[in-house]
Amino acid sequence: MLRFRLLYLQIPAVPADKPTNKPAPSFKGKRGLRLMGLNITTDGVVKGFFGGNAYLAILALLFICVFLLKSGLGFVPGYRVELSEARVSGIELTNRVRYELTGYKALLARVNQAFIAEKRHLFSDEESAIYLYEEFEALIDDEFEEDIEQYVDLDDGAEKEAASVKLRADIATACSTISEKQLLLSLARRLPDLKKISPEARQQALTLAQEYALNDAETPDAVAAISTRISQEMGTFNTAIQRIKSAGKPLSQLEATLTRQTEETDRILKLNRQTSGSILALEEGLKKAHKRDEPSETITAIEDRLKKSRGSFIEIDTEALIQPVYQAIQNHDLIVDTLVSELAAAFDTLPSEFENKQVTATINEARQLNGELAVIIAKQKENINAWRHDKDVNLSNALTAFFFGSEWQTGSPWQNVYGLMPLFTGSLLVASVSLLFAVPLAIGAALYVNQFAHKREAALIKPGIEFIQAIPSVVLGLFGVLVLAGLLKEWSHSPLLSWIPGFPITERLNVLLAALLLAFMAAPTIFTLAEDALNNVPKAFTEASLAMGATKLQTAIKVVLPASISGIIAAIMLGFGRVVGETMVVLMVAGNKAKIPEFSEGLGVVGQPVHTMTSIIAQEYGEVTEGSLHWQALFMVGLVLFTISLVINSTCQRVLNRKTR
Amino acid sequence: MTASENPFKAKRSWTQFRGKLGVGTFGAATYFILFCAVLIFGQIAYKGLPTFFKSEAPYVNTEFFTSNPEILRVWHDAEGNKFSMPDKDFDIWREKNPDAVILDPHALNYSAGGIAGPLVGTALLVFFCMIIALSIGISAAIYLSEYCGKGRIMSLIRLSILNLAGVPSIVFALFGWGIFCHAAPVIVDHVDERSLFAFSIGSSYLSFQGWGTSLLAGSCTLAIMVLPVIITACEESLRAVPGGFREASFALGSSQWQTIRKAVLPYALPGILTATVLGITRVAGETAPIMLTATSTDKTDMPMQALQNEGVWAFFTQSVQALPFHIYTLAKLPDDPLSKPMQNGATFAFLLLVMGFAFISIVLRNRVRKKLKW
Amino acid sequence: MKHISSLTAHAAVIAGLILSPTNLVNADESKIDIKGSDTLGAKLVPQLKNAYVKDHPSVKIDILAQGSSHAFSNLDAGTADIGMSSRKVKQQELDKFEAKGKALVEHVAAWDMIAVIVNETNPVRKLSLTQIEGIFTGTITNWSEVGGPDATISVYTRNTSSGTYKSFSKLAMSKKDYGTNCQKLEGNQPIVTEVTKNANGIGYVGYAYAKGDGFKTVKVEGVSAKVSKIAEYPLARKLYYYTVGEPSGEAAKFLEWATSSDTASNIVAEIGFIPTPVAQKAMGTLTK
Repeated sequence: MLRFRLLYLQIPAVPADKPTNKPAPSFKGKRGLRLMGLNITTDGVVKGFFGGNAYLAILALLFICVFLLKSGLGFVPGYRVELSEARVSGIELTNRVRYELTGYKALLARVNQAFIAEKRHLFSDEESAIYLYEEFEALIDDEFEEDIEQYVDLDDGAEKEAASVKLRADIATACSTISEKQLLLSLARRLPDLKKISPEARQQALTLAQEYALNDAETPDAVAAISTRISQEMGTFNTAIQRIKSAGKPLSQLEATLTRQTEETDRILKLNRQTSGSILALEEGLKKAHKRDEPSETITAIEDRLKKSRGSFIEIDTEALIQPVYQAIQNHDLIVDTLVSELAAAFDTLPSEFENKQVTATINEARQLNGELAVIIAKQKENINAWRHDKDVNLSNALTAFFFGSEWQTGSPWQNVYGLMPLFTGSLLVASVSLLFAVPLAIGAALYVNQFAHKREAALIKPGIEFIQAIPSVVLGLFGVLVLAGLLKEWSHSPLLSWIPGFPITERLNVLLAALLLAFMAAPTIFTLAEDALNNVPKAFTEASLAMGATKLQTAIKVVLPASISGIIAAIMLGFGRVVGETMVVLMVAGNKAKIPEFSEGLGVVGQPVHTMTSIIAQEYGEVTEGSLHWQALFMVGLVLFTISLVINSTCQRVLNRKTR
Repeated sequence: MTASENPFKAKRSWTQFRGKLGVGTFGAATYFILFCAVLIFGQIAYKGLPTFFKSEAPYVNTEFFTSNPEILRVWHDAEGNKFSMPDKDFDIWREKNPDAVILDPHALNYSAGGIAGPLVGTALLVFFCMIIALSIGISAAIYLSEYCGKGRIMSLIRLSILNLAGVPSIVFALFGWGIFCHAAPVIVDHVDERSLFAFSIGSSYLSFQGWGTSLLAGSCTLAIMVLPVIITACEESLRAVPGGFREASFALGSSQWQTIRKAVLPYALPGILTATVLGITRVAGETAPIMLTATSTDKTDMPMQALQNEGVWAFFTQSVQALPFHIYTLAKLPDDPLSKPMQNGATFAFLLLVMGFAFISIVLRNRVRKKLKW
Repeated sequence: MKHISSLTAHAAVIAGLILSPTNLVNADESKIDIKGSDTLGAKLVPQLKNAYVKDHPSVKIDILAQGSSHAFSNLDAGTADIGMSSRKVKQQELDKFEAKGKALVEHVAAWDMIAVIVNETNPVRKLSLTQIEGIFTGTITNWSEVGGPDATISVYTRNTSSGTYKSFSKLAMSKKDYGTNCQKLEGNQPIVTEVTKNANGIGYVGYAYAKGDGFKTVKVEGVSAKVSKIAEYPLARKLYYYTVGEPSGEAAKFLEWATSSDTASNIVAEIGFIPTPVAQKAMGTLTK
C-alpha cells in the first residue's frame, strides 16, 4: 500500500526520476540481432510480443466460436442418427400413439376429478368415516405395531380372546385422545364443506380401525366396500365413467404392445452404434500400438478388448423386427374410431348441469378436452398411416427437432429428446420479467442521479449502486431460496395483493422470484450505462430547454431522455444480455421445470416454475460423457447463448457508435 | 386575493407539483435500489456475524477461518441434554467419558470447523487466474494503446474484446470444461483412452487428454473470462497518460519500448491496479465456471500439501474446494439449526470478501480519476 | 533482451508446467477420487472418509457428489477411482464400458428406501404404485384423484443426473418418463424444503432424509418406509460403489472397509441408511 501511495506522489515529478544515472541516449539506431536475414531489434520483439497477446484475445473469441461450433454442430448429424434410429425401430410411431393416449388420459383425469368432487359432495359422511379410519390406522401403526404382532402370534383360545379385548380397548382410548379439532383440520382440506364430524362416522371409523389391528394390519374389506357402494349409488355418472375408462383400454394395450416391440430394437441399435464406434477406435489404437512397438502385454490387452467388443455386436434385422409393429398399427384406425364414438356416447349420458357448480365446470372442461382429442386423433391418424420406418430423416428434421422441439427429456429410459423451446422460452420469460422491474428503477435512478441529485448525493449513490453489481450470484441465489421465496409466497396469499397477476402463487420457486433477484443484478448494469448515456447529452440541450422556461422534470423527460435514447436502449439490451446469461440464481430459484410456460394463463405465467438454458448446462454437464450426443446438445445450448450475447453486444456497439459519430 | 409582497414568489402550479412528484419518483427508485441492497446485505450480515465471534476470549472465531469444514456430531443423553461437537473433539471427549450415554446420535456434514479449505482454494484460483490474465491483458492493452493505430484489424480486435466481455459466464465455463478439462495437452508416460490425439516425444507422449477438474483448468477458464475486463480497463488507463509524456520521451531519443517502460507504464500503474482489483471482483464471485472446471465438494488435504508431497504438476492438477461452490453445497444441507451458523458464516464471509474487493476497486478508481488530471 | 526474458518468464513457467513429464491420472497411489451420487456423497461417504482417514492418515480422499451419472461418466473418463451410485448401472452405460472392453465391478454400499413425502397437512396417507406412477408421469394432476383435497399437485423430483431419479423411475413408474410438470431440484434437501413449504407438494427422498418436521412419508402399497419392513417396501433399493475392474491399492482397502467393517456399518446406520448385514438379515427373516 505504501508503495502505491508513493507512486501517486511521483506522478507530477516526471523527468526527475533518476534520469541522470543513465547514459544519454544515442541517436544511432541500435543494431539488433540478425537472425535468418531478419533484423530482430528489441523493439520489434517487444512489439511482436504485445501484439501477439492482443491477437490472443481475438484468437480466444475465434477459438470459443470454433470450439462451440465444433462440439455443438456435431450434434445435428448425431441427433439425426438418433432420430432415424427412433424411426427405424418404431419408437417414433409409438410416440405418436402415446400422444393420443396422453390426450385421453388428461380427459379421463378431468372426469375423475369431477366424479370425486360429486361423490364428496353427496356422501360426505362416508368419506369422512374413511378419512378418520385412515388417520386411526396411521396412529395404530405407529403405536401398536408390536402389540399387533404379539397378538397375531398367539394361538387361538381364551388368551387370544382376552388379548383382543384389551387391544380393542387400547385402540379406542388412543383414538379418543386425538381431538375433534385436530381431526377436522386436515379433513377439512379434503372435504371443504364439512363443518363437523358426525359421531356415527367416528364410531364407524373406530370399528374399522380395530378390525384392521385384529386382522394383522390388513385393510378391512368394509373400507373398499364403502367406496364401491358409493360409486354404485352414483348411477349414471358411474356408468359413464366406467364407459370412458374401458373405452381407453384398447389404445393403452396398443401402446403397450408397440412399446414392447420397439424398445428392444432401439436398444440394440444404440448398442451396435456404440460398439462399432469403439471397435474402430480400438483397431486404430492397435495399429498405433504396433507402430510404436509397445510391450506385448499392452497389445494383448487391446486385442482382448477388441475381441470382447466385437463379441457384443448383435446382428439384427430391422426389417423383420418392424413387421409386427406394422401389424399392430393396422388396428389403430379402428381403435381410435371406437374410442372417439364411445367417448362421445359416454359424454352424452352425462347431464349438462350438476348440483355442485364446480363439478359442472370440470365436466365442461372435460367436454372441451374431448373435442380437442377428436382433432388430435384425426390428425394423428393421418400421421400414423403415412408413417414409414424407412423414410429418411434429414438434417433439417434434426435441426427443427432441436430448435422447435417442445420437450427436453434426458436420462430417459425410453428416448432422450432435446428440444430447446422449453428452455428458450423459460430464459426469455425470466429475463423479460426481470427487465420489467429493472428498467424503470434503473432508468429512474439514472435520471435522478444525472439530472436532479446534488453533486455530493450523486457521488454517494453512484458507487453505492455499482457496489451492488459485485454481489456474487450464488449469494443472491441463497438469499432467494432461504428468505425471499418464503416471503414472496406469504405476501402472495395476502388479500391486499391478490390483484397482482399470478397471485397467489403455489410454487415457492418461480419466474417472479428469479426475475426479482435478476432485476436486482441487472439494475446496476443498466443504471451505469444509462447514466453514461445521459451524461453524453450536450449541456446546451439542457440549458436551452431551461431557458425556454421548461421545468427540470420537463427538460429531463422531453429533452435529455430522447437525446440519449440510443444509449439507453443499448443499456437495456446489455442488461438483458446479463440476465439471460446468469446461471446460479436461476438454477437455485427458477424451479427447473422443463416445460413451455403456459402463456394461456396471461400474466399469471409469472407464478410458474421454468427451466432455463443456463441452468440446464449447470444441471446436466456432469452426467454426460465426452463427445456423446447429450454433451453435444449442451454445447448447442451454449452456442445459442453465445449467439444471443454476440448479437446483443454487436448491436449495442453499432447503436453506440452511430451515436458518437 | 391579497396582494403578494413578492411578485417573484413561485406560484404553486400544477406543473410544479408534477415536477416535484416526478423528481420524487425518480429519487424513490434510486433509494429503493439502495434500500434493497442494504436490506440484503444487512440480513446476511445479521445472520452471519455471530459465526465470526465467540463468547470467550479472544472473541474472534479464528477456527472458522483456519480450519477445514468438518462433521458436527449431535446427540443427547438420558436426561435430554443436547450435545454437539466437532468430530475430532468428539473422539477426545469419548475417551474421557467412556461411560457417557449417547442417544440418537447423528452427524451433520460441513457444520463444524471452518472454511479454510474453500477460502484457500478461492484464493489460489483467483491468484493464478490473475497472473495469467494480467500478463496477457496488460501486454494486449499496451499493444492496443501504444503500438497499433486505427485500422480494420484493430477495430476487429476491439470489437471482439468487447463482445467477449458480454459472453455469459456459463459459456466460458462450458468452453473451459471442454478445452481445459478434456482436451488440453499434457505429457504422460501412458496415453489415456480419453485422449483426443497424442504424439510421442522421446520416451513419453504429448497427449491431448485434458487436465481434469483442476486448479489449472479453473484458473485458465477464469482468466479467459476476465481478460476483456482487464484489457479494456488497462487500455483506458494507458490512454489516459497524456501524449506529451510520450512525445517528450521520444524527443529525448528513447525507443518506443523505453518510452512505454519509463514514461507511460509508471503513470498508468494505478489504473492497472484498479483494473486488477476490478478483475478480482468479477472472478471471485463467479460460481458456474469453477463448478464445471475446478471444484470438489470435500477434500482431505489443503491444496498446499499437494505441492509439498507430490510436486508442482500435481499441485496444479488437483481439484480444490472453492468458497462459492462450498456455499452452494451448504445451501443443500438439511434444515438443521445447527447447520445454519456455517451456512450463514460462509455466505457472509464470501460476501465480505467480494464486496471488499469491489470497495477497493471503486475507491481506487475514484482516486485515480481525481488524481490523473493532467 | 533482459526485459523480454522477464516479461516472458511467466509464459515459460506455464509452458514448463504443461510440459513437465508426469502422469496425470492417479499420479499418487494413496489418493482416492470418489465421484457420483449425491445420496451417498452428501452425507455417508464424507463421514466414512472422516473415520477412515483417522486410522489411515496417509490416505487422501476427494469427493465430488453431484449425481450418480457422474460416477459413470467419470469412471469412463478415468477421473474417478470409485463411483458412487444410488442405482444400478444402466444397460446403456454398461454397454459403453463393454463396447470398450472394460469391466465394471459393483460393490453394495448400503440399502436405502426411497420415501415418498407429502406436506404434513396433506390428508393423503397412502398411495399405490399405480397412483405414484400417475402422479410422477403427469397423468394424475389433482390431489382429489388420490384421496386428497381438490388442489393441483406440485411434483418435485431430483435432477436427471441423480440415481434416485432413475431408481424411482424404475421402481415406482415402471420405467416411464417423468411428466413435464416435474420440478427438478438439486439434491434431497431442496425437495424436503419445498414439500415442507408447499401444502400440495409431493416428492421423494432417500430414507436418511425422511425424518423431520413439516412433512410426512406416505405408505406405498400399504407398507411404510421402516427398516423392519425393508423386505416388503416396494421402493427399497441398494446403493453401490462401482470400480473399473477389480479395485486395487488403497481404493480396494477402503472399499473393503466401507462395505464390511463394523465401524462403517455403524456410520451407515447412524446416517439413516441400512447397513448391508442388517438388510440381509431383514430379507432373510422374511424368506424363512
